[in-house]
Amino acid sequence: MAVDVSPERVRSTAELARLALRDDEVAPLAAQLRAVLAHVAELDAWDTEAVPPTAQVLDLAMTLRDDLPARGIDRATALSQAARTEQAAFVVPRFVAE
Amino acid sequence: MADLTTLDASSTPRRIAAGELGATELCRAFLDRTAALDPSIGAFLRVDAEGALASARSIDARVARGDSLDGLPLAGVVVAVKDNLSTRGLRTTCASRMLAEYVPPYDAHAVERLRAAGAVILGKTNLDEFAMGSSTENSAFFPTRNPWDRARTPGGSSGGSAAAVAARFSQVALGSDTGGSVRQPAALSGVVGLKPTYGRVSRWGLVAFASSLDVVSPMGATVEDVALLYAAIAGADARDATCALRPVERADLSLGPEVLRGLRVGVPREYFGDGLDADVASRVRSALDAIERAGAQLVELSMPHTRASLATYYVLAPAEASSNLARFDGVRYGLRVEADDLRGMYGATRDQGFGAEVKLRILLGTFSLSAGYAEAFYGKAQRVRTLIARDFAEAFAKVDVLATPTSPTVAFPLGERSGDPLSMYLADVCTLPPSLAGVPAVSVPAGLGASGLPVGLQLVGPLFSEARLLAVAHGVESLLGRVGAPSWS
Repeated sequence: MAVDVSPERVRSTAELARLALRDDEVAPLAAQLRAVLAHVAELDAWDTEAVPPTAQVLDLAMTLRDDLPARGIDRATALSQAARTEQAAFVVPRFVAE
Repeated sequence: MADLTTLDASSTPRRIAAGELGATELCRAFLDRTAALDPSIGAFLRVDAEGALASARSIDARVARGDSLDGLPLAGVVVAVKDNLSTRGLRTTCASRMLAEYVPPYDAHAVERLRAAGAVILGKTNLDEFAMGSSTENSAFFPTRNPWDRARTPGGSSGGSAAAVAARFSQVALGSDTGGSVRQPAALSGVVGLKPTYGRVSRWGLVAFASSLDVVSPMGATVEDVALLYAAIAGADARDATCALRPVERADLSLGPEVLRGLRVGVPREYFGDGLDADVASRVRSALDAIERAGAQLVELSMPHTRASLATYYVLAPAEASSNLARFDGVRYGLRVEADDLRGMYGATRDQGFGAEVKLRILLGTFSLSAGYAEAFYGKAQRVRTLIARDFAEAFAKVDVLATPTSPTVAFPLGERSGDPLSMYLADVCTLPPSLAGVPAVSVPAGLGASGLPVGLQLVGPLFSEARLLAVAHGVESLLGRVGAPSWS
């Protein structure tokens, strides 16, 4: 499948991925994406009309462990690696208008 | 006294138990060698001398008390651990600015197993950022150099672990293999690397890259050492729902080259085509001739979907990575770059925290999962993955193992492929198909090429055939001999 990898496309994809690319990153990334996707387009050559997809290789049924109570990490430990915390919470910038 | 750093892992617990050797003495020998020589290699991101010596002293204390070391199959064995495996209280950075200061509150399952088996963890090894790369040059901190030629890469992404074993900074090492990240650096660095069957080793505590492909994998100077480490880390773990429940079979390495007699060894012609260096082709052909002379039957066969592997992998792995790496958002752990609003904070954190290759793969993955493209790219690649897996199933109906080159080239010069992702991706062209099929594969040294650099032979077996695969690898190793240690030091 032919794909147009324009700078605008790179920016819109970066927005979906929550990457705030700098202006000087866009053109090199567009060129690299174009090269890789051109190679990936070779997959079109294979007939997969009647072929099921493989998500994982082991054909495992979903295994569930026994439902037993267990202690997880405590709150202080869970918060210990965060850049900003307050009382018992992670702090993020405001995201709803006042 | 002989140089203790030449001691193999397999005989170490017995010698320590017999009082011939102290675990602390052994640990200090490796610490001293690493301190003196690693500045010129860059295998380690951090050495944990204090933690390593504490583990070693506890082994010596057991011996002094007269306690048995039975049940500690790695008693005193010096291990290096790739820095994408969580180590409690010891920074785990994935060679990324994003996690430069991250200290995990728990051990990865494989690390727990090492500690429980009495291993001494010397430190954390360098890698391509988040294991994305084939040269260890994508580390945010510094590249690792190949001990065989310091102007060249050790391969990647587990290049730090491969270099640590090759340079004798550790006896064995843990890496992770998603598309060849243990086998390719093992080949380029002249050591042994086993990628077990997908699901054979728990991924608990391995920082996720591509969850349907990631396998925690052992490396060592010999097949016996790799088998020892594999036995310690393999097996069920309820914390990883994709971890296989079936029991782990022990490898019987007593047969030597005799194990090759009557063995049907498949040689898929697609691995010997364009792009294979003459030096590598020649060494691998010599190895195959030797295997045939030892009584194996070589069976040439075709695996037609092999050439679709690169494209398939570079859709599926980035797609999974783009999802897995969404967790790095500046909130709960890792780097945070402040901004006025939440989206701004996410974007700035991820832009400054991730390196160029990681951004490329996140974009690739996001693109191939985006509306309008998901079925054409991701769905198509999942279906071609089925065809690749069928190639292996059909091959193993005819042969016992497959033999291929591990890497199409010997170690390449640092910087040669930087900035050209597709050329870097080709370094994994022989290791990707077994990863996509989930089957176990091991790289063993096949001697030195005309360039004086190591060449790897990849042996591939059916799902869960590690015991037999290791026995065959041991037979091949006995036949071909070891490549020895690089002489740079």
